[in-house]
Amino acid sequence: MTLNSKLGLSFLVVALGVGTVGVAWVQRATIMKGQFDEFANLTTPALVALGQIKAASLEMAMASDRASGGEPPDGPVQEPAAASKQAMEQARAKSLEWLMVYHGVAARAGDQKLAGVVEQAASALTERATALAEGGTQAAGRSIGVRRSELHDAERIFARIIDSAIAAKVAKLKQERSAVGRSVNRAVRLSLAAVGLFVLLAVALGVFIAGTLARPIIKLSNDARIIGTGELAHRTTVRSNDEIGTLAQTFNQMTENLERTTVSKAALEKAYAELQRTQQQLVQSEKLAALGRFSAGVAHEVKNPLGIILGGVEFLGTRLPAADEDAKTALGLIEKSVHRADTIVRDLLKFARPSQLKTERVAPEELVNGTVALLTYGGALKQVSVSTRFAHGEAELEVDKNQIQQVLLNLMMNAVDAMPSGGSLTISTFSSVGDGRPGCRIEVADTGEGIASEQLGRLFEPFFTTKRDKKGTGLGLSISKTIVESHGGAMSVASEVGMGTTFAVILPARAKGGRG
Amino acid sequence: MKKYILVVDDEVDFTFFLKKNLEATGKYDVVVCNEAAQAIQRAKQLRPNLILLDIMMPGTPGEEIATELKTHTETKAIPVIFLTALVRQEETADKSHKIGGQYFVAKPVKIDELVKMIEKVSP
Repeated sequence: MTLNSKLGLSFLVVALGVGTVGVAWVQRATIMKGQFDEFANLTTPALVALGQIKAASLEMAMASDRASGGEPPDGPVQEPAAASKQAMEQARAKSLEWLMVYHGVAARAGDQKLAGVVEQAASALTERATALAEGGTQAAGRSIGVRRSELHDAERIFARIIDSAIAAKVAKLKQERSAVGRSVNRAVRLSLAAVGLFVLLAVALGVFIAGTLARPIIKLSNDARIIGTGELAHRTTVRSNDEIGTLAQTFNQMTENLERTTVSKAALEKAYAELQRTQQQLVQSEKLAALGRFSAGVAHEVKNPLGIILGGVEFLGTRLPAADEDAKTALGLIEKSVHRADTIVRDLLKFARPSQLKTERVAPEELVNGTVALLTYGGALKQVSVSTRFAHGEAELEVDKNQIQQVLLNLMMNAVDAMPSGGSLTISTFSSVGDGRPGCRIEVADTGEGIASEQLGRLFEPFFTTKRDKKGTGLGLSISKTIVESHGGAMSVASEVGMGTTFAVILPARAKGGRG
Repeated sequence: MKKYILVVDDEVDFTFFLKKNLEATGKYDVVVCNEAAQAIQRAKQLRPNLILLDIMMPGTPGEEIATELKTHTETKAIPVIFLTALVRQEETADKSHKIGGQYFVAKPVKIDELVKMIEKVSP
């Protein structure tokens, strides 16, 4: 149902209700007015006729009294008997005339019975009046006094009858009028009640329609707010067959398009972090590449003279007198220096061309134990005690075993070097989850002298060394880092001066026996 | 009978000692060529038992010379050992002494190691 038809229906219901009640009320009032008018139209002439009959008949009786020489009426003029008779006749005629009128009216009003009684009383009065005035057959044998008293009796009876008739008519009229009043009042009350009822109905309908309009709009607005906060998977549940339903559908479609084309904040942040990491790796690998090119150049330029020196030393060795021990020692020292320089250049060349990885599956504890064994057999441990803790669970590494062992060996030898007067070396493994990828974290911790915080940041730089006696080339950690990164891993360090240093190697891992 | 070795390397000082040291073993006669451009001509001319060939040389790189040697009937059977200042010792020191199917020796090299290699390649 459309909004227009909803609104239209509500107006129609109100208009139809109020209109129907109004028409019914007017109709009813009209009918009642008609009935009352009809009744009044019949009653008023009857009352007029009865009044006239009464007046004429009483006039007739008084005239009869006067004509019979009875007590003179009030007034100064003595009327002659003939005049009295004439007046009586006139009154009688008038009374008859109005009786005829009343008869007609009573017949129309259905008052024949009352009309009969009135006519009877009037004719009785007329008879007595005539008897008194003329002393006809009916008056024979009776004194004038008796006839007069008979007339007076008849007069009273007539007056009573006509009065009660008038009173009855008036009472009926009043009754009808109050009945009409009551009906009108009732009609008004009913109308008011009906109008009130329809107003209530209209209000209820209005509230209902407003509700069906407002509820979905409020719901839509809430849904919009939720989506506004970034919950793009949210959809509105508003369903309706009107324009709001269409709006809700369009809204959902719009949200779907938005969701398709919008990357969520979390995904964006992840991508950004990934990008940053990639950029760092790129910068690092570009640095390495530049260093590699540089190293290759240096190596070539250094190795050739080293080759010449070595060649020269060997040549001189063949020409030395066998007894010249000092000269032999000197040549030995030169050759040693050649090899030392060669070692540095070889280390440099590891940057130039990292060897191809020969990966195999290996358990972390195997790697660690193997490296510890190398260290122990090599006699490097001196006064350092070694302990291992394995908490990597099911994690298994797929690495170039020799290279990672080289890294671990490098870290352990550094640790031993950091504890010249002894200490403890602890190698621990953990399972770790970095960047949502399962990994294995291998920590090499010493209780040595520690590294100052301003030096920590430079530890992985090539040629940076903390070994005061220049024992190292400063390449171990940077090569280790290169190796670990070429495995997709990472290295970090934490240290406190006087407490010791902990290096961590994090390598991607998989569950033992899992598919590669 | 002494083996006849042609050394192609632009480093004059290096070849001076190399020639001296190899000949001091008493096993070899050594001819040095310090010009990469003349290497092919000298090889054709001398028909040595073995060529020691430097890789990084101005003008023609050692690999190109080796490739060309394989195209000439006079020289294609002559074994070649590359001398390089850029290959790591541990790579050349693997079981085969080969990288990409060819023999390498890294500078600086001790003469007895080089002799071992020569005897292996050209017994």
